Amino acid sequence: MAEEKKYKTGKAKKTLSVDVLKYVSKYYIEANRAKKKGSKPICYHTSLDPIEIDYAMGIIPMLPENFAAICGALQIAPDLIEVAEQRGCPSDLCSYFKNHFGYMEGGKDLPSMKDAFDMNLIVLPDPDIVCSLRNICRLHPIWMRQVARFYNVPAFTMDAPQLHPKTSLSKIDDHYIEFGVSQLKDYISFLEKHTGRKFDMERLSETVALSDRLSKIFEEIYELRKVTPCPVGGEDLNSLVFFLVTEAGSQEAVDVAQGILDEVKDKVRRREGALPEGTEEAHRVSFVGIPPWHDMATAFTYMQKYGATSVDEIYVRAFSGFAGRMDPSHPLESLVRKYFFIYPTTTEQALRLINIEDITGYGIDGFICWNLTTCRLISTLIARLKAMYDLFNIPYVTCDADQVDPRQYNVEQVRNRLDAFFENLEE
Amino acid sequence: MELSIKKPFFTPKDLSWHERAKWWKDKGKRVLGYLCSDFPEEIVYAGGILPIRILGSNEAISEAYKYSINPYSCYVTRSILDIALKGELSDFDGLAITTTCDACGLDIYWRMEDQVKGSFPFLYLLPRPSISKTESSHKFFRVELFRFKESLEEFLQEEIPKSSLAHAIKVYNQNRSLLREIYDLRGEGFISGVDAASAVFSSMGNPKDESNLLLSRMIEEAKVREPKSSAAPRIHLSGSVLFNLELFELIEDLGGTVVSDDLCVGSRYFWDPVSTDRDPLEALATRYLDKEPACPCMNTESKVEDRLNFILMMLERYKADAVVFCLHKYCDTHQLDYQILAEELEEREIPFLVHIIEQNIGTAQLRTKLEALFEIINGRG
Repeated sequence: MAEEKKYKTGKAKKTLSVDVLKYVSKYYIEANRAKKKGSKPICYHTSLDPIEIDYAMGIIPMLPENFAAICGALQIAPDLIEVAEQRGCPSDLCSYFKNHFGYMEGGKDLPSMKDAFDMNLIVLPDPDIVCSLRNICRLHPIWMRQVARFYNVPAFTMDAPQLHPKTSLSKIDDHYIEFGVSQLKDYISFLEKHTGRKFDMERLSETVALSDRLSKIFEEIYELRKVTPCPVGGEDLNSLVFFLVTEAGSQEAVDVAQGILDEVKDKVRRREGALPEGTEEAHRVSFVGIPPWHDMATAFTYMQKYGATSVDEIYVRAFSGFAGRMDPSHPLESLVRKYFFIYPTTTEQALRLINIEDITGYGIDGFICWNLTTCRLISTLIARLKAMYDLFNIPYVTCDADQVDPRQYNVEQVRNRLDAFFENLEE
Repeated sequence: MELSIKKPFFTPKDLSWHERAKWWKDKGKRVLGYLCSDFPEEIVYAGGILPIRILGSNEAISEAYKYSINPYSCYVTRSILDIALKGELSDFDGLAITTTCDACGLDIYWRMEDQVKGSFPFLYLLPRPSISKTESSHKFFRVELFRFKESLEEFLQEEIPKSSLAHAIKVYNQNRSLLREIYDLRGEGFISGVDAASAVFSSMGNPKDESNLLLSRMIEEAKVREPKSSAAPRIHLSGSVLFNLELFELIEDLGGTVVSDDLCVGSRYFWDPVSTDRDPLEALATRYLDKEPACPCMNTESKVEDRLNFILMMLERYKADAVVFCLHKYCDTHQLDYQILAEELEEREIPFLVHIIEQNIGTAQLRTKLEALFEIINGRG
């Protein structure tokens, strides 16, 4: 029997009918089956890697970050993180990394893990190869190098250099695209060499087309969220990231997303909002940062008592790309545009435009900044955004917390801050 | 003002940032600040501008906390922002930042643009790939170096000729060669760990031609001295930025001596020369991408192995007994590399310790750790 959980936090109330965990479980079960049979290689990735290439070559992309988010939601991350810290990981290091490092370093055999995984059938199969594109943070590629070292498997790293401040997303310099395409070609050669699978450009065009379709569906959902009342809140959108981050390039993701879009459209037609029936939408906020998978209730459901809902999340939008549509007839260039020019590598100007769109397009009253103490990138991004909000006199609240680790998390303090923020908005 | 190695121009105790820049500007010249040992100073020097390394300091932050700065970034980042916000860089004509880590490389640039706007007539972000040793990364970086040179020329309103670049490379290579010689003399006991570190600190802020004269004089003086022969524990320091020489002094106070390092304010700054047998910008692109010891922010396939090999080479070359890792809190890349480096050192039975620093080096705690390390070394005979 499972032990009682050490950290009592909560699940958010969702409004969409899709059972994301069912798809996640299915994905992990199939990956483990393939691993056992040796039918498909497993490639570990960090978030926002060009996994469309993996799908085109029949390789299964697995993301330890996605796994860490699941561990966070299942409240088992602290045990794994403790293992990592016992092995010398500093406490202020990325908790996604520590979750996975602890898992590798013996955490997977802890009794609490076995209970949780047996219950949800989510077990991370060992990798055959690993890859990381450095487009988010500096830690990502080093993480994958450590995985490669642990499992003694080949590793490949790509790099997305910071866009020059004078560059606009609509006119990216040729040498950026060339550098990206060259690295993608090297990645393909790496996969061919280590998996024995042949690459087919036509097949890549197909997966890029599917990926673009998925992004387009999500963009339609974002557009529909501009409607009042907002048909779907952040509690749902954040969990849908699984499809964008792990299944971009698959038919299944497109089919699921299409079903979600249809449901959202239907809700808009019926003027049905994300808030519980009878609650009027009084405030529209934007959630900034990686959400606390261990306590989505506080991050998203708690605000409902103020008639508030999260109508936009910069984190979710990062995964569908924002450097324009993909062109399946130029798959490699399209992948470079999608994956090499994202929030952390883009210009301040682009970041501002996105925020201005938030304020104007979504009718946002304020921002909830979920500041991650163990994430250099998010804490830096939030500090930059807050400077911008100060400049434009936009209300925001900062909650210092973590995305999976509840050990230092003070739920009452966070709720007090949210109370003060919404009370101020009401004034 | 007379420059000297013993009282180096660059040591924070001696002159404020403002005074350093002013001293040069009074001669009718320009000053440009840079943050990282991976910045191609030669281009700036070729344009007749004095590049001064801005390291941050261990002074308490007062101004930056009035703004929304990231409390979870390293003290180096926060301190540099504070120095700028306090107006200490107001005499600088420019600031150039290489994209290395997320905090130092990027956050500071945007903050300078947002909050110190107008302070720098020339503010530049130099995108550098984190992959080296590939043709595509070299090609990319060549374009960016060319773009940087063009922007600088636009600012100066004059061209930087190839011959000036070639001359700058020659002067800088001489500086590197002299610093290596100083390291070798330190290894043989002719120069103390503190003095050798002073020489590097001094080189990061002085005009290189003048710095070379000082270093040559230092070498001449050292060579006629009797070398110190001692059984003191010989330490290799590993890490990034140190604000001052306190750590070197502490190790000497405890009876040890620093004989080598792979610090951003040490060998990472000067070890590799720039090739002189090809186009200057091409040579600079290669040097600043492929140089050893590599920055932990790099993601080149063999980076950690190369870093380990560099440390092992330094341990052998300078007969070091142990490694002291002095890492900044919130510096993810150094801390992650450390995990692998520590494993490898352990396997080779090389003694080491790790110490996390923030505003200060935490002398009391570090003293105890060093004493324990020295006991282990001395116990080995």
